[in-house]
Amino acid sequence: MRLYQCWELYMRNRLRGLALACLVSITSVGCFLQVTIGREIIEDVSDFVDAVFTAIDTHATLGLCTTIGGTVSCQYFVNGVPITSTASMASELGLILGAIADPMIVELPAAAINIAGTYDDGAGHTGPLSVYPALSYVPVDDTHTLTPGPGRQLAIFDLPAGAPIAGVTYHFGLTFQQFVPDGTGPTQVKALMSAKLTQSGKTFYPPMLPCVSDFSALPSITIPRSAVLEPLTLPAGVPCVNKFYGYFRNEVGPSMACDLDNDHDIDRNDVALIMAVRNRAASPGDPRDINADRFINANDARACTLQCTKAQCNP
Amino acid sequence: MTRLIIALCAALSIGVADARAASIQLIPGSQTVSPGNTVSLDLLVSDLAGAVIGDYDFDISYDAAVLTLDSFALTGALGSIPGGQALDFSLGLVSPGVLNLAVVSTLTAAQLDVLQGDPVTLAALAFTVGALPGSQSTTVGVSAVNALGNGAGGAIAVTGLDGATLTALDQSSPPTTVPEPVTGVLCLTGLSTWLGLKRATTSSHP
Repeated sequence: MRLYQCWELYMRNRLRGLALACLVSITSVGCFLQVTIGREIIEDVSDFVDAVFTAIDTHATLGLCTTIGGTVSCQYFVNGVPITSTASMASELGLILGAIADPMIVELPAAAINIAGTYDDGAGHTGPLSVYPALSYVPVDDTHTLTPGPGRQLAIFDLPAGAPIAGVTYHFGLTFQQFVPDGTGPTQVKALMSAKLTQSGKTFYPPMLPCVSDFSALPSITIPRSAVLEPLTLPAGVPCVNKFYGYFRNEVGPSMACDLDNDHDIDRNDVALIMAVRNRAASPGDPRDINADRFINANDARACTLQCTKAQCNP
Repeated sequence: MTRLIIALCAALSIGVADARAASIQLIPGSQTVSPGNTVSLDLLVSDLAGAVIGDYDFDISYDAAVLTLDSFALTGALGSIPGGQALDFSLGLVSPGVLNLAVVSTLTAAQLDVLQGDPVTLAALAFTVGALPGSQSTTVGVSAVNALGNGAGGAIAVTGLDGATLTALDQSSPPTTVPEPVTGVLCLTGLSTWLGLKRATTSSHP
């Protein structure tokens, strides 16, 4: 899809159903993509190094996803074409009652830094998007995990809690920088829209559009090098058709939030993923900010060593 | 009067709270050195008020034009690193004159309590002194406390950062000289005293 686009969005569920069970209706947001444009500019740092500044902008109107029982249905509009993506999400508890949101997961060059996103509805609702950069793993469900390609990183963009979602048209902006060898070609990125749900203290991001389980299956989008923002050509993507995502892991302990590589245990590999991005500010909800103090450092790693599955955090 | 006492008590209690915040030191705090000397410094944390250290991540800075880092050795205060009780995430030299040390323990707070006292020595550093003009000083200090966590991973407040000062031995100033006239006077005085004593001895023993 349409990736990008929607930097958006969406979110929030609204639990409408109730009680009795079986019928739970959750509303979150889909994406009505209107315009996506981008560009990148280069500054000559030295004879051997260029600084590349990339910007991607989009206008998108947030739509609605509905959840009935464990089935999520999201509608997207890309280039004016409606696309419906559906998935069945089941857990050992029966129904997925957690929040269903629609973050975007983007694959960027590993060298990309200062990754940031903004939203603005033109009516006073503006601010930074929640961004989780430099991810090596994004959990999809019990048995699937998204990973970046060689020399790439994954970043999650999400509308922060509190931002209006119902029928709002947002201008979303994404920027990042890189230092690359002189002569490096235009930057390529990949992106997908996902749902978002939390189980046992761990947040999962099941892809909804395109419905892929591996980023290598996604086409790349090339960002034009231009003085002005130019329209981006977004590749077509296949939506999910009742795709099954399972959450039946029977974890021991109150939380598996530290299982960052989604391999069903907490070990020194997970601790190392925190330390790999240490000493940087974190957006709310960053999976590596274990103590939720908006900063990733060794204290988060320490909190995870106390939850290791095996002695001495052995794998 | 009562208010004054209360105010004093409050002030004292604040002072106590501050005094309990941890301090990070490099010791010895001052040394006299000469070019070519090897200097050893210990990195330690004190004033822990009963807390144990579960993790730390510090940047230590020094003047790379004056000092060469020969080695650094992490202690087992957070558990044996070779034994897997503590995980070493030190980046080492991250830039000229900046050394990063970072360790995360896998032990429980109770296990750490057995290993640690107060102060806790975390590492030993060794430097070789290069060109440092006489009487001039250079410092080695903790330039960034990226993290200092307790047994549960909570942050330990740090209020004191005490670096080490290395001062060059003053070898440039010439040794004190005695003016020749004074030297002559001293010699004559000594000689005359010796002759006087000898004469007196001779006269008393005919």
